[in-house]
Amino acid sequence: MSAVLSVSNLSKRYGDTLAVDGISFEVARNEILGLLGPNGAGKTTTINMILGVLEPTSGKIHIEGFDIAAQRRQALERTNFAAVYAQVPGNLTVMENLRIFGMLYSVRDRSRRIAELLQEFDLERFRDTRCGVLSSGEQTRVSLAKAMLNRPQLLLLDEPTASLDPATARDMRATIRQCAAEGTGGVLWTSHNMYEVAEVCHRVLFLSHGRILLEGDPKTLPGDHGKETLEELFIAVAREPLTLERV
Amino acid sequence: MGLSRTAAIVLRQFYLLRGSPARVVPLFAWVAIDIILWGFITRYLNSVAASGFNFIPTLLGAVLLARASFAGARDGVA
Repeated sequence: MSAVLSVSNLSKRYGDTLAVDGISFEVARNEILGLLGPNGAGKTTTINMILGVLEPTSGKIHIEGFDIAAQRRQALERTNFAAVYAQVPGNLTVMENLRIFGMLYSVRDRSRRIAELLQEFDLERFRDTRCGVLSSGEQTRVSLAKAMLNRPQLLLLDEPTASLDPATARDMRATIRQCAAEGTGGVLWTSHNMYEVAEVCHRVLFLSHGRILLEGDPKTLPGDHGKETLEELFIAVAREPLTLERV
Repeated sequence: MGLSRTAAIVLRQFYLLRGSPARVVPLFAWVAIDIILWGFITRYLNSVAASGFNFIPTLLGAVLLARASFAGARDGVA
């Protein structure tokens, strides 16, 4: 079966700055792939190009075999996204937001799907509350519920649990893991929480200065490079990327 | 597909207006002020200008069109 997401030789240049430098990778079905790297490594730029928000300088992106440049609608209706910096509009209630996004994604049997998600993300008591007055953790849960609305084949999560308390974050990780395991889709996940990455991701890519520096299983990768933990490896990538080679 | 998305945007605008009816006021208030202000100006211009040209429909129409265009552009991206 083909990959859910296929990225080949992707680059993005801003003037003289090369934010993403010819990266290639795939997300397989039922896989959670972690995209790691220090601030400015090119993670969010990569996600924005996959979402079609930014146009790549060069390279190709295919979602479920659809080219994001030529078959944008087919590619994007199989995708969804949640990020701590992209909350749903605060001047609408939870129910109103989910209904509108459900229509935007042409979700079938919308009312039932919304009811399922309200229950799954423990949002039933907030259904008629404006999102702007919810706590940041509650808003994140609304964002994740919105991201699951269309049962996406490709789910892009940019630090999705950054503002959640540890207990809620663990529940959300379990929910996302379950979604990835049960369906036929894949997840691309960025996070600075290495404990979370090690727990959730099947494979990780370390980005530094727009290039993929390391790739592998988050449980064995630190040992392969003489480090005790993923966090130590992350710090090494951030401080001395030239001492590490891609394997 | 396209119809569902269009309906979603219309529904969003409906929810926004229902949640905050005060949003309707500027739609009419500024237009009313424009009509009164430019109405007096064009009447004055008509009284002092050479006969044969009517400022009222031309100037007032241009102002209202500009106001509607700016309001549409602003609300479309808000």
